Amino acid sequence: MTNKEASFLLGACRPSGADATDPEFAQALAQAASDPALKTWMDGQRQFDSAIAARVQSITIPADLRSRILTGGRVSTPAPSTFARRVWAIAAMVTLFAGLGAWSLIQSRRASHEWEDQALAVLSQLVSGGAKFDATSPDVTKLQLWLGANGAPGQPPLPISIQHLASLGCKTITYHGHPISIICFQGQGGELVHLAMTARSSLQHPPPQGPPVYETRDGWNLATWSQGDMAMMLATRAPESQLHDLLGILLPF
Amino acid sequence: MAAPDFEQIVDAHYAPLYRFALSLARSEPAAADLTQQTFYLWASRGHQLRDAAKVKSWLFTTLYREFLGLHRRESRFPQVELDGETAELPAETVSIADSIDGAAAVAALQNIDEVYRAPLTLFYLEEFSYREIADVLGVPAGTVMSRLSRGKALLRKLLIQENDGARKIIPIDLPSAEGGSL
Repeated sequence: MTNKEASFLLGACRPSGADATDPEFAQALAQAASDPALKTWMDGQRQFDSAIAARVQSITIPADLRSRILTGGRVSTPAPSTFARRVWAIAAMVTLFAGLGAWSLIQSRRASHEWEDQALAVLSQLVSGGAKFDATSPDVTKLQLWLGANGAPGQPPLPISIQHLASLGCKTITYHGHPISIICFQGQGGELVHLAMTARSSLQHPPPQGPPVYETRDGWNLATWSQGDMAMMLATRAPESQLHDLLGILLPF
Repeated sequence: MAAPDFEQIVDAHYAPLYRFALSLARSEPAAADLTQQTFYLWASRGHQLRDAAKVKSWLFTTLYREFLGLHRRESRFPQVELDGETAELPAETVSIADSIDGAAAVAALQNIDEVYRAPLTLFYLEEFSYREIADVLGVPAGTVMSRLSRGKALLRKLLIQENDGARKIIPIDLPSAEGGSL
C-alpha cells in the first residue's frame, strides 16, 4: 500500500477515533505508525478534522425546534383503529387471492426484465446527457478496478476483444440493493456499446448459461447471458448484427 | 427493553438531524422544515421499522431523501478522472482550520457541492462510520471515501481563500461535466 492509498483510507477515519478498531483501517494505521511522512500527514489531518467537527457539532439549534417537532409528531401519529385494520386486512386478502393467479403468470417474465430495464433507463439518460459517468477512462482495466474498489461488479474477466474497444466510462446503480455495473465502449465503427453486469444471485430469474438471448426492447438491441456467477447484458442502438459480431468474438461458446 | 417513545427519539436525534439538514438546505427555515418533516414521517410510518437499532439510520436516510426530492435538480455524480495526476499526499491545513471561527467553517462547508457536502457533514457529525454513511446516502462505501477525500480538498481550498481574505467564499464550479456523458 502506498502512502497515497493509505491516506485515502485514513481520510475516512472519524477524528474521534471511533473507527480505530475497524479492520479496514488496520493496515493503513500500522503503516502510519512506522512511516514518519504518513504519520505527520495523519496527525495534521486529524487536527484539521477535529477542528471542523467541533465547529459542525456546535451549530446552534433553533430554540423552539424541539417543541415544534413534538407538537407536530403528536398530531401526526396515526391513531390505532381495530375496526379499520380488520377492514383493510379483509380487503387485502381478497385482493391478494384475486390477483395471485395473474401475478404468478407475468411475474417470472417481468422479474427477469427488471434489472435490464433499470440499466437501460440509466443508459438512456447517459446517452441523452441527463446522467453522467461516475468515472471515465479509455482504459477498461482502470474502470474495472474502480468498480471493484467501489463495491460494484467489475472483475469478471472480459474477453480480449472487448478489452481492445475504447472504453468511455462507467457508472454504478443498484437493483434492490444489489450493485449493477455499467461500462460504455465505443465500437470500432463508432457505435456505442454498453455492458451491464450484476451478480446472478441478486436476480430471481437470471439469464441462462450458454449462448446469449437476443431481443429488441425500447429501441435497444440486447443480448443477455450468464458468465460464471455474473448476469451480463450487452446493449446498443446499432443494428443487432453488431451484437452478433461482438459476441461471436467475445464469448467462448 | 421497551422501544423508545417519540419524545426520546426526538431528543436523541433532532440536533444532529437539524445540523445535517442545515448543511444540505443552507437555510435555517428550510433545515427546520426538513427536520420537522422527517419526524412527521417517523410519527406516521416509523412503526413499520422493526429494528429499533436502525432508527438513527432511518431518520438520516429519510431526511436526505426528502431533501433530494425537494431540491435536487438532477442526478449528479462526481466524475472521477482516473487518469489524472495527483500529489502523493494531500496538503495539510491544520493552522487554517484552527484560525477560523465556527461560522466560517460552516459557511465554507455549505459552499461545497451537495454530493460532497452530504458525506462530509455526516463524517464531521461523527454519528456514522463511512459504511453507515454509504447506507444513508445509498452509494457504495468506496464512493463515500472518494467523496470525503475530494470534499476535504475542496474545503481546504475554500478555507485558505477565506483565511487569506483573497476573495469571498463563492459557490464552486465542480469539474466540468463535459465528456462525462455520452
